[in-house]
Amino acid sequence: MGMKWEDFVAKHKKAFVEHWFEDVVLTYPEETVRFIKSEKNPFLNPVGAAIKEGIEGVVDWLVVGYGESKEEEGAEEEDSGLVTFLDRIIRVRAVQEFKPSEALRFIQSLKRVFRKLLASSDDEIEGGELEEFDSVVDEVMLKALDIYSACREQLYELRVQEVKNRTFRLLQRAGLVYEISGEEAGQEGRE
Amino acid sequence: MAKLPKSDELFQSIDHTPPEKWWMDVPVEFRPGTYCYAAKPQYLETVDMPFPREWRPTDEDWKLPPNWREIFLEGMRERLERFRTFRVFMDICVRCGACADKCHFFIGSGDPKNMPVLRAELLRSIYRRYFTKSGKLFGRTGGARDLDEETFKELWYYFFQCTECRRCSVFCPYGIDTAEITIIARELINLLGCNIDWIMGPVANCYRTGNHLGIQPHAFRDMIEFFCDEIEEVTGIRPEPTFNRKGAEILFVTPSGDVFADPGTYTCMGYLMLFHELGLDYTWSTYASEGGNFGFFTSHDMAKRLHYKIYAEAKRLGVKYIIGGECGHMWRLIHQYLNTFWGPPDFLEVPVSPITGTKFEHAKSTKMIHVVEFTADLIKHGKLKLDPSRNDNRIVTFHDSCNPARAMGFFEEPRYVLKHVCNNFVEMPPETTREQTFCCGAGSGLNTDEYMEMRMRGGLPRANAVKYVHEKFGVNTLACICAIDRAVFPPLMDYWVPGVDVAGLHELVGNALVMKGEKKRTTDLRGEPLPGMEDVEDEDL
Repeated sequence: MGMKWEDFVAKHKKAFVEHWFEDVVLTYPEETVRFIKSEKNPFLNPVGAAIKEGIEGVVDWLVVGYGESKEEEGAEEEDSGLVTFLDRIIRVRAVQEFKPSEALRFIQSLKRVFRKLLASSDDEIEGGELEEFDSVVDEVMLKALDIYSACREQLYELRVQEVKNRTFRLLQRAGLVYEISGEEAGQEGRE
Repeated sequence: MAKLPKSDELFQSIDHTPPEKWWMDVPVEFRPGTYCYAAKPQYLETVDMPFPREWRPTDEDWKLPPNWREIFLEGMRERLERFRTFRVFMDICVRCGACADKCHFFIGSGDPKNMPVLRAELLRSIYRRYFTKSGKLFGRTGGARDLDEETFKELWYYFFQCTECRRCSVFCPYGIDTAEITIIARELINLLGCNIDWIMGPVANCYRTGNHLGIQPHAFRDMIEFFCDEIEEVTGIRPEPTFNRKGAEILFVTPSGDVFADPGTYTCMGYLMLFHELGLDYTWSTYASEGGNFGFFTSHDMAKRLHYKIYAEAKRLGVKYIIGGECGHMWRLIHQYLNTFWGPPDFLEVPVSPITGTKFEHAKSTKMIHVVEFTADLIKHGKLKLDPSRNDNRIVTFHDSCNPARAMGFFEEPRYVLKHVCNNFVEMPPETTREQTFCCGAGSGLNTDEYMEMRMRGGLPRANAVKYVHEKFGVNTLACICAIDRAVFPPLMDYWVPGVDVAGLHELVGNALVMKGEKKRTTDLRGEPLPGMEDVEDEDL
């Protein structure tokens, strides 16, 4: 008798997390991989810590959160932690030396990990479950794209903000900008 | 029709591992966000630096002079003879790897060439090729390589990815100071007119006008007066600072960032309030209007030229000694370079606090003290009336700025002050503070906006520790004593730890300071309501 994909992931959760972590880490150069894997102190290895925490969170979501979000109306927006944990990883990769496609390819690894574990296990899944799992991963990928874009937009936003802050006080003192005070605006409104 | 592979086979075949190449064979790619803009020629001309020209790092042709290789190698030879440290550092590294994972840029980026050992190897390989027998004989197998344009571009790229923070040097068993290797590498880069705009602009401005932004004396004074207006609004008391006043006892010099950029401006108000309350006989200078010295990120000679301005002004005004504001690299220069550059100034006196009588013996040679030690001494002697509850809306953690921490051992004084001006103070994990502190990610003149992506990488380890205390203890304020910190932390926090504000130490002092005859305060220096005053309107008072 085959299982649901959620049950399969739940049963093989530890291996699932390990394999996926390995896939993400291997996107870094060799010397870096050694460091990310070996340094266990999260304060000295924030990238490794973010990947680990993110991956565990997303796998938890696959096992529990996804089911909950299906049951509850409108819960998809809340996504039971999916965005939070994806953000942990993507926020880091969005500012590293990756093209957008490289930064997010690790989501697709989920499909590979699932197949690999399935092939090496005696467990079977029901017909159609593989396709079902793939479509969930596709949804996760779209969510990841939103997060990645938001991170990149924020970078440019921060840059604009910094340029403005740097010169505003000076322009103000030089009398080159005139700030309309709230009071003044209120008075004009009344007139 | 060709047989299509099944999806399973496709997934199995995806290889995530980046191509394995030896580091010498991985070329540099200039992507926006990861390099700084090239210096404008007029900045180089202002300070007589060689080869001013228009060029861009992304250009194929950097318009290097025809004999650039000779200039570079001759410059290297001169420096190997002049700086014993440089020659020793080129020779003695055994590649033990102790430094490898200590750099914030490596930790945040995962780029192996940001391991201090490998970054230094970029230059060491040139050293071996042209200055050692083994390198000349064995070439690549001996870890040596030719100096060509690609190599030079790589040097440029990575030596502007080191903030000279010296965290790696704390861990080197041989005491190799990678910052000094970076300093020399940047000197060599400067011989070919290839500095970055964000460093050369401030250098030229500082040389011409006295501060990084090129603010002229009247505007500088105007800005300080504006702070006095704001202080009067908050406290009912108006400080009366003086400018360029001959015969004052003390000259006060702070980074110009405190005068022109939020949130440093609130720190500046803190200084003004403190000195007014003490009735301190001090003056500002509109000429020595900069504590920072970006010349230090250019060459030793340029650092020396710009550095003396503060002392020349102290001499001109006839003050007894100097108090310096909350600045980072200014203190490394004062403590570790001043005497080599110029010798101890003989026209000033050993600083003595006119309020407590404390003689600052450790400043016997430099005649300059840090405002934080001045304030700590006042508090120790009970000379300040403080109401720390005015900062009760803040749960504060403290970032040890690299230079005061690692170049001065300045750990206790800022914490002592903090604990007296606010009730909620939390330390970050010990492997990220004091001598092991992580850089803000943008020191040594890299705090420019076009470099935002790299700054986020470099600042990740620091931000990660802040995130921890933010989530665990509700920390909402990151206090620091460096103007570059105050400039670069706000965006860093926005990206990694939203909800954490950045404040200079003396901003918090200003909030807590109970001044004689002040009105009932309802807001802090930022105009935000004080804790418990959220519903109080001005009219109610």
